[in-house]
Amino acid sequence: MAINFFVGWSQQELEAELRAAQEDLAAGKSTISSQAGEVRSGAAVELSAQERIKLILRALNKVNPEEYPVADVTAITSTRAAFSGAAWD
Amino acid sequence: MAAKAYKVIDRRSASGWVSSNTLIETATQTTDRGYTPPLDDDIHRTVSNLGRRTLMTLGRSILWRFPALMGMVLEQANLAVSSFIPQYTGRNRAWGDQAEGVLREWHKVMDVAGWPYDYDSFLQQLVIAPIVEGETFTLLTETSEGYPLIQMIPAHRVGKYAAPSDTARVRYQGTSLWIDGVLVDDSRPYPVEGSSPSPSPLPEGGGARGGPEIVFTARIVDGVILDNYGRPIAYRLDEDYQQAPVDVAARNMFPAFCPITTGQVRGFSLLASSVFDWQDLAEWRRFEMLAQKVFSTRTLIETNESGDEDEAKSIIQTAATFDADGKKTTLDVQRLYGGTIQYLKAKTGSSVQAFGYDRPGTSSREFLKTTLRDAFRGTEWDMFFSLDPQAVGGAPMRVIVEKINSVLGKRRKLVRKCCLRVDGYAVAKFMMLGLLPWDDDWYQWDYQGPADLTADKKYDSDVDIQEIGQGLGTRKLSCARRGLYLEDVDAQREIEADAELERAGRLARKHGISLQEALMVLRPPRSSSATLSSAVAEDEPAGAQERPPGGGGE
Repeated sequence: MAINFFVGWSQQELEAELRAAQEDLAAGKSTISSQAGEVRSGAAVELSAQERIKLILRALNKVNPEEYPVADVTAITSTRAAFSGAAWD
Repeated sequence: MAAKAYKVIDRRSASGWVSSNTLIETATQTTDRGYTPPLDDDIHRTVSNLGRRTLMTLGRSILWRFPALMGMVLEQANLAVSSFIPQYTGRNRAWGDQAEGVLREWHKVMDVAGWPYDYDSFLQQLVIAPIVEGETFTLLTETSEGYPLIQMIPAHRVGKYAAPSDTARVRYQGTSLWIDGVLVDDSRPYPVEGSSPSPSPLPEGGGARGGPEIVFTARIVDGVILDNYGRPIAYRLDEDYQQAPVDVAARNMFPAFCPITTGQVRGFSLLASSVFDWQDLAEWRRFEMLAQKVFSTRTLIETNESGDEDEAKSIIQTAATFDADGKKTTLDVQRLYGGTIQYLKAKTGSSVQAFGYDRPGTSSREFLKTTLRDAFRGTEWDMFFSLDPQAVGGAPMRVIVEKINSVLGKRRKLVRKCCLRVDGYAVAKFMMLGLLPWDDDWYQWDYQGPADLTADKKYDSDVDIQEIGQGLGTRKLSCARRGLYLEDVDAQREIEADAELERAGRLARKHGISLQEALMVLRPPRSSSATLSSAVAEDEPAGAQERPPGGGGE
């Protein structure tokens, strides 16, 4: 079972965060830094906008699978090769 | 005058002499290596009944898990006893021919288990079981009409529930032997070596009377009931844990194993010294095979900025499927086309690479080979002979083949001993039943096994010819190496020579040529005409070559 990094967030909170990430991506930000507590380089978390969006979408799928179906929020990271299609192809 | 022998004076103190291991360092164990507990005891005290049966279990298990081992064991059986024909060696050849024929027919039906168990399966078991299980037992039995039969008893049935404290009460009188009050042999021709004869008979009855009575408590070691000299009197067959065991006299049942240690009454699997290696090799290969299978599921690795497949750039023929929990159940199917040219963005680290793997590495394979070779040697066999004969040259292979022949000879010795008991039992029964007449040499048998292996048949043949010619070898020995009997070879040669002379005589009379000329025509062609001419010149009497063709008879 994959980890839901945003467990406990409501759909509204997730969608707000998704919107922010999408705007960052649209604005051309390649990475997003977030810091917790005292500002120290060791505590900084850097994530690409795309990765952030993927994580939020996965979380949204858990909250509302009807609106965010798993097939739409799962990246294709491996495929199987086929060398012919249907019998008439 | 010869000197007197010197009297050795070994002075001791009241407590004896001071002894140490100062001369031989290894006589003292140190902490530099693992401690070996004392083994200076009888063999059955250093390997328990459970331990021996554990070796049998592991031997049986690994045989069916390791193809090379299965092949090696069956190879030994095939090479040792692919043929093993009884040959009567007594004086009465006519009786021998008759007995050989009777035995040949009996061998087809000798096993009480019925088809397909017969002489061939008996021979195979006598080679396979001692290697894998340590031994096998043969029970000499008969039908209700007294017709001889044998029964193969697997080793696990003897002494299965034997305990170190087991003893048996043995009583012998006349020709009868009782064990724990049960008559097990009523025609034993010699007494058991037990305690001193008892002056009064015990209340147990049955069997022949007369002669001194011998009664004693016998040791039972691993299911073998022993006399005072450690000779088996009987074997204890454990039918079932709840049922009483059955004791079978050692005259009617015998084990087939080759003792390695003095005092052994049961055989240990020949795989004992190597079974851990075989197990490790089998597991290592299985795990490595799994790794290879996992590796082989990968073909291409594409590295790109997003880390996933871009559906806008590739053709996903069938989308992945997911279960109700959102877990992927099948992969997306990507359509590939021959002649595809792929474009990747420069300076992004993007690439497409074939998934390569090189495991196990060369060092691992070498280690595997060395371990496998050691494991083979534990059973006296040679890995190169069995698996990789190309790896050694001609001369080393000849040495290996010599060793293999020696091992096969050893296997055949055990089989020969067992066959002598079985066939001797059968022949005796046949004479009792009137199926064979009596012969004073009825027990004189030998066995004709397959020919010795050779790495170079022509080389060996040339060496034989030279050694026989120089008196360093004999035709009998050379025939034996070929799986032949000199007597049979000479008899056959005589028949063939006689037939050839008969034919030559007929030709000579018909065509008016000499007997020598007819023989020359009949003989196989020589390598060259020059040889033929010279042979004719040597064979013909003076003036014979001047005789015109077809002219003059003898």
